Amino acid sequence: MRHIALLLFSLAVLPLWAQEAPQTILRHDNYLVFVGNAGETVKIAATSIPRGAYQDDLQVKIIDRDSRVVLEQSVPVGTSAEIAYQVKTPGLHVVGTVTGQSLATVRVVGKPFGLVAWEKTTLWICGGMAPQYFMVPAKSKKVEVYVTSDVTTEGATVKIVQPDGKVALEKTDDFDTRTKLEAPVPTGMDAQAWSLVVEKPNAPGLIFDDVEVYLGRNLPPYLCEKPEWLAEFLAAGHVDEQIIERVPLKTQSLSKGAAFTTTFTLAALPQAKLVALRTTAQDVDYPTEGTFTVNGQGKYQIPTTGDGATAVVTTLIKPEHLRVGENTIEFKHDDSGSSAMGLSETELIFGNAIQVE
Amino acid sequence: MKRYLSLITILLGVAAMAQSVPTVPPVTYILDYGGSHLGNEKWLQETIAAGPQLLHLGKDVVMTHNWGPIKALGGENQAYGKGDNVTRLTVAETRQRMKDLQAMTKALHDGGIPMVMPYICAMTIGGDPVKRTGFWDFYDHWDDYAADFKLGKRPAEDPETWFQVKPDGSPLFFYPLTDGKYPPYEPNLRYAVCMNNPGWRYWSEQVVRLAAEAGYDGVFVDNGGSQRCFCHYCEDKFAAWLSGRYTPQERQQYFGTSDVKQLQLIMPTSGKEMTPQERFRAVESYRFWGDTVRQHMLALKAAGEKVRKPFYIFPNGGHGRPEHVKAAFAPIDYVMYENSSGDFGTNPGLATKPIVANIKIINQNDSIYEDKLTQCVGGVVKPVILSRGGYPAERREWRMNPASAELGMAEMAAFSNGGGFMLRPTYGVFAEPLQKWRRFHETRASLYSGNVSYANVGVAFFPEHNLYGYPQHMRHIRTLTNVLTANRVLFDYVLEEQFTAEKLRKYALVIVPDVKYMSRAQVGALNDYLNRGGKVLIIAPEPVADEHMQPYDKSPLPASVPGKCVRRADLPYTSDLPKILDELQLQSLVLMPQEGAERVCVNATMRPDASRLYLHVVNYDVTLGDGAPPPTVKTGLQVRLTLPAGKQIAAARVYDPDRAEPMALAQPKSGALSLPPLRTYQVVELELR
Repeated sequence: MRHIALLLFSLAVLPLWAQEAPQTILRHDNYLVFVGNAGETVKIAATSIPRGAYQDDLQVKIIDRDSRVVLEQSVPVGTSAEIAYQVKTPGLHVVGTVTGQSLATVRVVGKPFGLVAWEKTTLWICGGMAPQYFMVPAKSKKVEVYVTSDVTTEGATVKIVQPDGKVALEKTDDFDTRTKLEAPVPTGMDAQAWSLVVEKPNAPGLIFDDVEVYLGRNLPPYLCEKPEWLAEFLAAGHVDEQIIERVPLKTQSLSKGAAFTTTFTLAALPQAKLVALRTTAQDVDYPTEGTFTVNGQGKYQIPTTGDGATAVVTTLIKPEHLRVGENTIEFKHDDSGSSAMGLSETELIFGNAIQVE
Repeated sequence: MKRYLSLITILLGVAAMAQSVPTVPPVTYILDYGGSHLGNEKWLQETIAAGPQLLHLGKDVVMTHNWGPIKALGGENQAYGKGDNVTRLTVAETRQRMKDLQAMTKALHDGGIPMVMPYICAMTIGGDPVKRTGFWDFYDHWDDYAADFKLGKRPAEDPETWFQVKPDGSPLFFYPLTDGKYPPYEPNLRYAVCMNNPGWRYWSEQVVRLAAEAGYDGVFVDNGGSQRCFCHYCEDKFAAWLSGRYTPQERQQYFGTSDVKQLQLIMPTSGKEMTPQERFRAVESYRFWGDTVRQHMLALKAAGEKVRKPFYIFPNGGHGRPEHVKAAFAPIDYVMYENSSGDFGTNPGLATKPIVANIKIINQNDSIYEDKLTQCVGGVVKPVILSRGGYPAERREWRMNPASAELGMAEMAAFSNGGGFMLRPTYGVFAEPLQKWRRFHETRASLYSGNVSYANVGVAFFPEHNLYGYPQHMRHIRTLTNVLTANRVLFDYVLEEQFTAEKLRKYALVIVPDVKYMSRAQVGALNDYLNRGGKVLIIAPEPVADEHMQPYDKSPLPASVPGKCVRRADLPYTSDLPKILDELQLQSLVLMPQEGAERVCVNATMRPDASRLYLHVVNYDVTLGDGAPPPTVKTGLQVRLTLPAGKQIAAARVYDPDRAEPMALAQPKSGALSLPPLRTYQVVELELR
């Protein structure tokens, strides 16, 4: 929660340009988020903008926290609509927008909303983006942002701005291939909202059109027009854990298809709703790279971290796969696409609420 | 939706038998472009053990279409395209190649694989016309091979004159060069040649004949729709084409002149405005090139059939080109839909995409659109579906697993009328499902033979909207297909020529979705249908012009009539359709209620004499990817059917590839048939009396 408190503090030093922001113009597939309260009517303002000869209508879907599509609506190209949705399941909702080759502006009216931008759900803008805030977690050493504008002659100027208004990184490029922009996090600048500016390239011969952008893995994947909105989304994905018992497990890194078995003893089965294996994983590239069984049962997967990346990951396991007395967990490595992965600080956790990434 | 069950009655109905060409059983299919098949006993035995019904190989041929006789085997156009691979075989080596291929095809046939087809292409040669390398080297040595391989007289015009050309006469490169080079062929270039060129046509016929003599049952023809040529052969044929289709008065009216010499081929050019007459000439140009493809394919078929009958032609190019499926491929045996790209990959089943905080999008990948289109064109053509788990890079979570491979084959059985679903030769994973489904196809062939489509709804699907530059129509058809299948409504696509009063009369509902160009005859047919008691759903935008692009002053479609004709400004979503059907008092068209039946889709066929009706039920609740959970078995499914007028169910049984024997079904209760648990696929056979 420290970052949320610091976030409020950082409002005092907001750069003024945030109030004169250009609109974010979306293209292709994008996702917004809002947090809905039960019974609340949420309004979404959507405008479908023709682009050249393209005549694709805007498609809007609202998806609830259980991944159910709860509303679908199309907005004919060249028109605007206000889409109303009465929230049935409270919590985080996603607004999926598909423009095809046309363009669109989409906003949640009168309440905080954000854009999703991470490796597998990137943000596609076209010719305009309002400055966007994102949270840099505590203890972060660097900020990574990825940018692509793959049509030759198209490009952008990208700025990564610290909470104190200082531009940590500015780059103008054609970004024809995916480019990682990396800015160090100075002492005291973590646990706060930074901002991202993507704008018309400050270079002759480059035009500002299609740009794909997303945040690196160490950053929460939300971009908001107001920094104070970020807290809501960070909280929505957060679970206050209630851990009853922890059982440390011996693990090791695995390579070349090797297996490793660890044993532990349970004097009794803890009375908990949930059981999970939590580990610090490194370089897990695909869902089957790291798997494990519990007493020979189940085929659990270590969540992916991405190439070369390290993350704390949690896998729920079925309580009935455990027993009183000696238990074994066998970890296996699948080397069909990667030669090695790391596992450390592994534990079995029992609790009534467990955060799963 | 529950009220549907409460209302259930097996109605005496009007479901339609739309297509006249009887169905045939589906096939299992392997695409194997490996380059080391000849003399490879291990490969031969593995392939025979897997036992696909259609085996599609690479350039395992006597003479390749693009280089002539060369050392390399296997691959498609790009593979093995340079270095020693393209070294020309001597006459003796080519003779040996023929013998080796004959031995291989015989062994495959003897092993129980009924159809084996190699790869050729409709428009590619490689080489350097100045240095006389590649295909030119072979052309210059044509006479060396002519006697042994009965090649006949060498085409008089140099292959350099075979190129497809742009309006300015320069070569048309379908695959753009990089810095003047084509890397897979370096130092040679890849050229696109013209299907109307007599030299290329003659050479292509020799390639096919030699394939037939090698024992092949047909050929796969890549780039089956890649024809955009402005050479003098094309221009001359185009003039004849226009003369044959339009009177001088019509040419004057539609094109601005009756003089065909002034009416050259034309296609839209970026940044250049066209007159209305030029736009319609562009439509005719595309139509002409489509007909060129048809002529070329038929010529290849005839060349093969001089050696063996039947000889199958299997072009690539259904994807994105429904107008070719209709006009060019309908009389051809198979068509491949190379569905490489999709937002969720294209492998059949449920593909998930994480969005944020455990919220994900779940997408049902299927090829119902392609399968139904091919079925509804009414020719002999059958679809073959290529799918991927992401392109160009495969995503592991969208990768095909054995359950999704089974779903792909189930989909072909249910929707395709004789088609095949592509599996790769990863026999460790796919041999078992392949064998299981072949057994099912062969032991249950009668379920798939000699039927016609049975449907309640006709959807106006006019593929030539692609020619008119209006591809949105196709996108809307795809979306509407999803809406109809998600609601389990039986439908046919009704294509341009089929949109007549007589054919429409068969349907309980006709949907006209985003049809921008509609002839006056088609409008008349719709009005006639409506006036005779038919029901219509019109989805905007509405027609702006007729088939000759002559504009309408206002929409020619009928006005709203409560309970009879509904107009909508946009496409309905899945949840909207039942409300529309309510409005039209057509609730009975929904075969199954939603609850418990999510991701279950249906299709139906029937004997032409209405003695048996077959309901195909497919469960798409199959998660893609490595380590995916098993398919979610659907239980408690109930089906409510509208039977042909005057018919009742005498007996009902269910066939399921997971069961050795069919299961008898109880007579419907309150009009609803109860199905046994559904894993992937079932066929419900209804004997009617």
